[in-house]
Amino acid sequence: MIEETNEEFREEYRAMNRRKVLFILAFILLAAGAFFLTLGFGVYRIGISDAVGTFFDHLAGNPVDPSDDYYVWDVRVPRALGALLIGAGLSVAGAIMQNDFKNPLAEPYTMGISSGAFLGATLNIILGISIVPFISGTATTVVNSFICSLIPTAIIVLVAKYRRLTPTAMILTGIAVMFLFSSITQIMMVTAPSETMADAYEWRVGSLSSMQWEYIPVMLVVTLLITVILWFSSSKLNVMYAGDRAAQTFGENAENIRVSTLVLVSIMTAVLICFTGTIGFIGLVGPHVARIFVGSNNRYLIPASAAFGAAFVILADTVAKVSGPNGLPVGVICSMIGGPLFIWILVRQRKSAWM
Amino acid sequence: MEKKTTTIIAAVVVVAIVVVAAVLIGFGGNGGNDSSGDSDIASQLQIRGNANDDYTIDEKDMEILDDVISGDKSIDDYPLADVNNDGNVDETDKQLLQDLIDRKDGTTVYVLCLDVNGKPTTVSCTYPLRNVVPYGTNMQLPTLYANGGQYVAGYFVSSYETAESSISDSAVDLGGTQRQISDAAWKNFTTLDANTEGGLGALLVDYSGIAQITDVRAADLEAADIPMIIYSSADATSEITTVLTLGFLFGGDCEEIGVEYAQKSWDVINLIEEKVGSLSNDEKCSYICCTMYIYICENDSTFNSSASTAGGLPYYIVNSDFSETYAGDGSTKMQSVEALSNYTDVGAILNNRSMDWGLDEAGIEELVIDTWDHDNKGVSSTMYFKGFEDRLVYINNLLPGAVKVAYMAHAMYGDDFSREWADGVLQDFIDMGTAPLEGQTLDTVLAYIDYDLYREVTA
Repeated sequence: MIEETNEEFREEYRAMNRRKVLFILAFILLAAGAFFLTLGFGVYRIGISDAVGTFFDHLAGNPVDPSDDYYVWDVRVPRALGALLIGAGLSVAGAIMQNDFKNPLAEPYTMGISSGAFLGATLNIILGISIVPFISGTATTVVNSFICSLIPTAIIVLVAKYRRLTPTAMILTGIAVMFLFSSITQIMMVTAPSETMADAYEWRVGSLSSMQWEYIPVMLVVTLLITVILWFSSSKLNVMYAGDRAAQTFGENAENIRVSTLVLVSIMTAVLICFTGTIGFIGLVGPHVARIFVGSNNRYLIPASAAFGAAFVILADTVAKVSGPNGLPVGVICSMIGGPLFIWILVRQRKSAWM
Repeated sequence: MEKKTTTIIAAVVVVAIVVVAAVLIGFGGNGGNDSSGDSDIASQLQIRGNANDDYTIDEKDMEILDDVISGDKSIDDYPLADVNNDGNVDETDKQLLQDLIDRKDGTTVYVLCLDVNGKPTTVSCTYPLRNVVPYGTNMQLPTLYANGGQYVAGYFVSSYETAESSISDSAVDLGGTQRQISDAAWKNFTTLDANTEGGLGALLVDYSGIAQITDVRAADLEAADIPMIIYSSADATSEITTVLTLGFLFGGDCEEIGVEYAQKSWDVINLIEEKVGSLSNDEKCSYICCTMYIYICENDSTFNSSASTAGGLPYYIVNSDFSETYAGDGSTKMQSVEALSNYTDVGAILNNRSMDWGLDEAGIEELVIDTWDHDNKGVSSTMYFKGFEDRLVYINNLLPGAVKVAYMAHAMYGDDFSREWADGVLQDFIDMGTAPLEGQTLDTVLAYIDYDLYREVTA
């Protein structure tokens, strides 16, 4: 009788896991479909089937129409890949932050990464300053924002090294750094001419319109590598979810795990947003939506967050491309569509996804 | 039968009423019967008293006034004969005109310009005009081209060290920006007026910056009795009349340079009109104007007016999709590198960029590369103009209007207007002795960048 009950429980457990895997596969398929769909959207007029055909023609080394090939292969494919990577990366980063800090409001930007990145970008956009002297031209904004985005994390890690910080204290330190950086940025913004101020604000909102092939390898390698490392650390992360003391009973040092994953997540976030600006929403909400469907086990939560984030951002960018005379920043669309969608999911769900 | 006849009569009456009304409206529209006296007057020198609508005020204008007073000529045909803008031409106008002919100090001059809504108006100021404050590059440069830098009491921004070097050393930097007059800058302006003996002579405003003159600021000007002279001087032909009119108002050598500037400018424009003015729309070269690297000028932009003066056909006339997308009189930033992708049949892309001069060879090379490969937040300009390289040119927006028009004509009709000819027009303006170009040569001014030049400097 007990064996039968155990077997039923095991079968139910396996079925539940299969459903989780199915959710992940469904969103991977959705993201893949959205990838081909988005190739047919934009200002340049080309149908979806022709765009997909152009994509495969290029892969086969046989591009037919130079103009089609340029706008599909050189412009839209890197933009679509960028959308997939930033959606996946930020969503995974959010999942880890929420897990590490046991805080549903934590997200990739909680530690002040976005304010640091924005400060770096603003230094170049408004003042024309390059932090690295030998860097100039189109790379300056990217390098500036990458370097500055890591400063808040570095401050928190340094403080945590010399003085033991609770998760709440770390978040508060991040918020303090964020305000400090924001105030410096605001000084530049209030004295800036209207055009450059508009450029800086546009960067702040986040856009994929500047995505280029050169950026993809860096984004891909960093996102893939860090996501895989985090996935292989799922069991340790799951222990963190139970709390610092519980982690200790399992022989894990919660503080070390928190700091090391914080560094990894910060690097991934910095690499992604330095190319696109601080695209919001997905890092906060992506993990919540994934958690509703797959629960809090990081073995499923990390790939589910990645799959949902990728599908969501690429679809949002498809909408962004056809909004207005020649498109809108994806950051605006993410929040505009994602906000109501998230509320709808929260209202519809029967049980609390968090805790 | 009777009913049918009545219907026909009624129809004829209705048609007759409509025709008569249309004719009356037509006469009303063309008759210049505007009691305000500020109807749209096409004049070269925008001063009341310039009755014969030429480039100066002299005895010929007085002869017209005499004829108008005697009834031999009508004020409707010579609206500028109303020198004091009171709706009548009488002995008072004659006395005022005589003072203007004598260039008498302290004379009240009635200047035709725009009001804050862009409608024609007349404002008065004192001759000769002194202690002016220009606002906006498109007004500051015409002031300097009229050699009026010596009479500038203050400026809101000066971004071009060499081109604007003739601004008086004693002029006060009021601390604004190209696009904005902050409250602090306006306070500096009113303080300057209070500290200037006799007050400021006028605020000179380019219409594209009119949003900065709020109702409160306009009231400040009225209270302080500071005239505001507004022109849409970003347009090449308006810029010519602006230089001519400001030259007259400053008086002396400035008037001479203003006249020479206007005459040379009209010679260039007339030559272009002569060669390509009669072309049909099908034969004309279509163009899209851009500014600030990746902003597309909207249909009614003043940049388009200049390009049309150069004989081009604005692309919105050719392409209805473009016309709908870019309706307006400002400019729209390209949100993606695909923005121009559906307009591949355009003849020329005329990109306006303000570039200071006084350059050496290395400076020119650097500026060419910075312009062509400009970093737009991580995306090079070349990405936006991919496929348009052979039709894309950058034209220096600081140059005199006629010089810009000459280079635009060369870009669109290279067979009719050679590069040497356009360079010759620039050389003529350099030789003229207008202050901003003083000491420059064709080698120190980067007037025109095309793909050939870019490839040459990057080879």
